[in-house]
Amino acid sequence: MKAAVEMEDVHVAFNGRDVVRGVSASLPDRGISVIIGRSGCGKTTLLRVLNRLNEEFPGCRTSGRVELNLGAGPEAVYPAPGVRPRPLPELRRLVGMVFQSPNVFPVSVFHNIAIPLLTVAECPKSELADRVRKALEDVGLWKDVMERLHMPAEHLSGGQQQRLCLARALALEPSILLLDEPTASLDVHATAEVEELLRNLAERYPLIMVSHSLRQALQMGDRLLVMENGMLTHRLEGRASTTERELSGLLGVAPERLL
Amino acid sequence: MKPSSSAVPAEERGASGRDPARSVLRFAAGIAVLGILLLFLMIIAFALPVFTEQSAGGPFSRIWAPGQGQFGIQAMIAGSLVLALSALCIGWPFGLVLCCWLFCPVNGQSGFARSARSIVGFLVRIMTAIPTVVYGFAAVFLLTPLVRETVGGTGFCWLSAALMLAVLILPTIVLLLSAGLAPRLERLLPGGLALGFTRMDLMWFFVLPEAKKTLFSSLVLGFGRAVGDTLIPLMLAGNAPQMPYACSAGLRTLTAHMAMVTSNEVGGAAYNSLFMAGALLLLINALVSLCACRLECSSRQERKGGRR
Repeated sequence: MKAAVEMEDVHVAFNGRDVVRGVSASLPDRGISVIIGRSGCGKTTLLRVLNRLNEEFPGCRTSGRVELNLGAGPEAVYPAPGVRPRPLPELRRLVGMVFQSPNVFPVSVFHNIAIPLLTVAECPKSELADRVRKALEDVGLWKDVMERLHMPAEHLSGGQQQRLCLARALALEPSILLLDEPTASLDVHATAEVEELLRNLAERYPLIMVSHSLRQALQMGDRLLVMENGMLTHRLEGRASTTERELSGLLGVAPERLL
Repeated sequence: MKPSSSAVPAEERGASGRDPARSVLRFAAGIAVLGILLLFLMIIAFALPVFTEQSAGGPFSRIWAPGQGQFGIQAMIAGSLVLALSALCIGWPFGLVLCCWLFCPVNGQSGFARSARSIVGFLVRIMTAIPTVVYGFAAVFLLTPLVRETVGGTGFCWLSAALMLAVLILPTIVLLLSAGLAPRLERLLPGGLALGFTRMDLMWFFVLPEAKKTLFSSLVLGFGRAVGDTLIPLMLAGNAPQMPYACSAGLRTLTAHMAMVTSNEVGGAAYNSLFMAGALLLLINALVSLCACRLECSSRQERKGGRR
């Protein structure tokens, strides 16, 4: 299988303090890769290496080699001598990201998808309605909102908002999807919906997910990356070969104390 | 009064209701309210007779010629409004652009651009502390010769005063706007950036359309500050008591008019017209403050109700 992500000796520091120390990994271009670890171990920072989001925070330094396959073979993401990476807006269009709590824009459901499409993806106006519809269908939200497209997105329920955020990322036709604890702020029911949706998406996209729950990591992950203190300590391939107890042993904590 | 209130034990304060800090506060608030009421009463009491005894050369006529018994302040009313509005037309858009520039650094920019931002932000804060007379004084030497060369006339005119007033109200506008816009922008980060938007995109598509009240209240308060300023028009506008007709011609504002007449006269019809001018200024400023207050209250409620 081709690799979607290649990282080699990646270091990230904020104001001189190392958060990610020498991570090397290669992730294939289908299925769900789950990064787990105790809070503060650098999971989110590692995820944000891939869309260069760390750079938006002051005092950040990233080093190492990061290559992504964004549709045209592996390409370097960070500037280096003789390397001119894609501009940031383009990179971030191709590397979709969904956050812990739903972050819909304070505009209508339709505009939440349409404005990024028009501005970031430069989608022609004539295709706009179709692409918004397709994105909403992809996340199973179309039936719920087809009559209320011009309602403020903040009026949707938490699970619906999170699916809208996914639809917004999918509408931009990304090559990779990053998920930062995508169900952390949802109730049990909404969590099940979103997990189901992610499993379906994993057949079409490489998904890289940070998870706060061992159960979720074991059920969803095609491979698990265990992080500790900014370093990748274990890598487990294949589903259901590990138990929650073994996993928490690897992390050095009791399962209920993970968060 | 904070130290003394914390020195009183809690139960003593709660039980008796004779908390010294609280009674001092009440007293101070009462004095302030009483003072404002008395001010209004006095101005109205003095202005009313002038208002009712309408004679040929009364305050609402057009010509100010005290030697010939003409005490019209129409030109000054027009001068005040025109000058404040023109200062706002220059200062407000500039303030908005400056505010957006301050809050929307482009990623990957050089260290120079970053330090330029922090220096400008610092300067804007300092500008609020500079006395008006310094602006006026500097402008007399630096701005008026420039204006004289470009538009003609003496240089002491509508244009000079409007430019300087715009500079004067700029920090007010920038600070108000940033207090309203920055938290809204902050809420959209870093999610908005992760979609490929720049901060400027986020500002333009999601912050500004939602922040009409902030935009409007900065407009209103900027106007209030511009219409109430005395020294800039007094030093730069030329003070000719005529209807403003060209940007190179002088004009006289209500505030400058009051300052000039009070320093020359101590009674008579000229002096009486001042009460009229004072009452009008008070009215304009009270309206502006009320307007700003309403906006502030409703936008606060909106913020409370609107978010999860």
